[in-house]
Amino acid sequence: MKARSAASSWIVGLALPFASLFFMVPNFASAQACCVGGGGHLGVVGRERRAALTAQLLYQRATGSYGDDGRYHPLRRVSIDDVVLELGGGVRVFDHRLELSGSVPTRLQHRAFPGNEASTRVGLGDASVGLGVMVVRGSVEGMRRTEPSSYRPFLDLDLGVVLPTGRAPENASDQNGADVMGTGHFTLQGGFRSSQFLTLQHIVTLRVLYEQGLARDVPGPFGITRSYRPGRAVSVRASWLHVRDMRWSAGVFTNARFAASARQDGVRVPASASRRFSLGALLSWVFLLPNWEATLSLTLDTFFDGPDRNLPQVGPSLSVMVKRSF
Amino acid sequence: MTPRNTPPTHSSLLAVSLAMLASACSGDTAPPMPISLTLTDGTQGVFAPSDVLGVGANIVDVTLTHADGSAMPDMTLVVDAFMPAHGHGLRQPPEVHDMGGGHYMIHIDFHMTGHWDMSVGLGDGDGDGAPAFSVPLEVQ
Repeated sequence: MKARSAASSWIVGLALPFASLFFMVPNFASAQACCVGGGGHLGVVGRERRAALTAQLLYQRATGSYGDDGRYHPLRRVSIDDVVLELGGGVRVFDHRLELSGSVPTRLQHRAFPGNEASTRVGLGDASVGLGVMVVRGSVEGMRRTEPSSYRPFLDLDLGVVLPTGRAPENASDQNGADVMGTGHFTLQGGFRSSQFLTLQHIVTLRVLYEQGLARDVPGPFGITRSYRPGRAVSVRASWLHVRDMRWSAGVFTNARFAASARQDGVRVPASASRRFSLGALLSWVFLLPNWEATLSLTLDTFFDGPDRNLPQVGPSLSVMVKRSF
Repeated sequence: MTPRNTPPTHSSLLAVSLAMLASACSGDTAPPMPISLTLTDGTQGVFAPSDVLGVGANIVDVTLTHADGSAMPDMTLVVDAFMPAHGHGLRQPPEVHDMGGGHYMIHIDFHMTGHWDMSVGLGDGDGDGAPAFSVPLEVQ
């Protein structure tokens, strides 16, 4: 038992900060400025840390789209490339149970469409702020039959707001839309995160996030103003993480996002409900013990007919994140 | 909105037949991608495109005729487009070129794939235009 405790001390010490990584992998909002939500920066600080600063560099290339019938259409003779540098951070207060966080993305977007000159634009994306509350402090020593308390998972409740700090579609002028940096509306978020230490080195997590974009007036054809409200959305992320040793960990995750129909002037917009499924993997390295870590993450869409629907741009994304914990 | 020749009331407007030829203009020698729009509902102005447009620059060829097939010249054609699912329109307004004899060439840029509603308005020669009917388009 003593041997187990000795081994667990450093593994747990490392697993705790790693457990926060799953909430930091690239999300849909980072991948696309306009029209697809899912953003936020919730859960950035490791379980037993006071604060964290992060810098994430993400690259995504759109390779296709999904229609209302769920068919995948490859984008041909088109270049849609996004690079997003997202700076964020968070701090825990009140006995580590309350976490305040925020992030600000800067976007570089390249668009090349048939018949038009290619364009590249840089601008501020949609910033976000979040509040997390640890409701249940779970066990970190792995599940053991002899200790019922070891089955208790961590549970955090999250609230967040995505702010329309990026240039809205109606304020953009580039003919390719390269200068559309944000959604143009506030998005309210609420949800929970739960993580369970199956063993000292294996952690599973589940995150559910509900989002509601607020209605706003948008200019329609011939200058007629319309009220537009994006559809409510629920995102679910399940993940598994293996902590190999003090420096290395790796994991896989899957995302699903379901968005209801948008509304225009109070009327449901046909063919506007969407869903998106993606898979990913990450590799994390603590390059300077114990506070500096880097995470490489790859996210892929399904790329076949059926599961996804009404997505104008999908494609793989690759990100590198550096995090300094305190 | 008063036409110079035949008043384009909604009833006469609905009798208009539109023949469109769209080109996913590649900026080089790529052949135009034809798109046929057929009037399917004489009272609502609903059109059913037989093909899709492409993201990027497109050229849409529009011919306006009366119900009897005679040309409807000297009109002003006004075009705009909106993506209702995402709540935004085009980044730049389409350019409409009057080729004469009721024939118009529209340069329109779509920056996103998906469903668009192209609003077509008819006005008199002074340039006044108003939404007259909407043409659903799929952009890929």
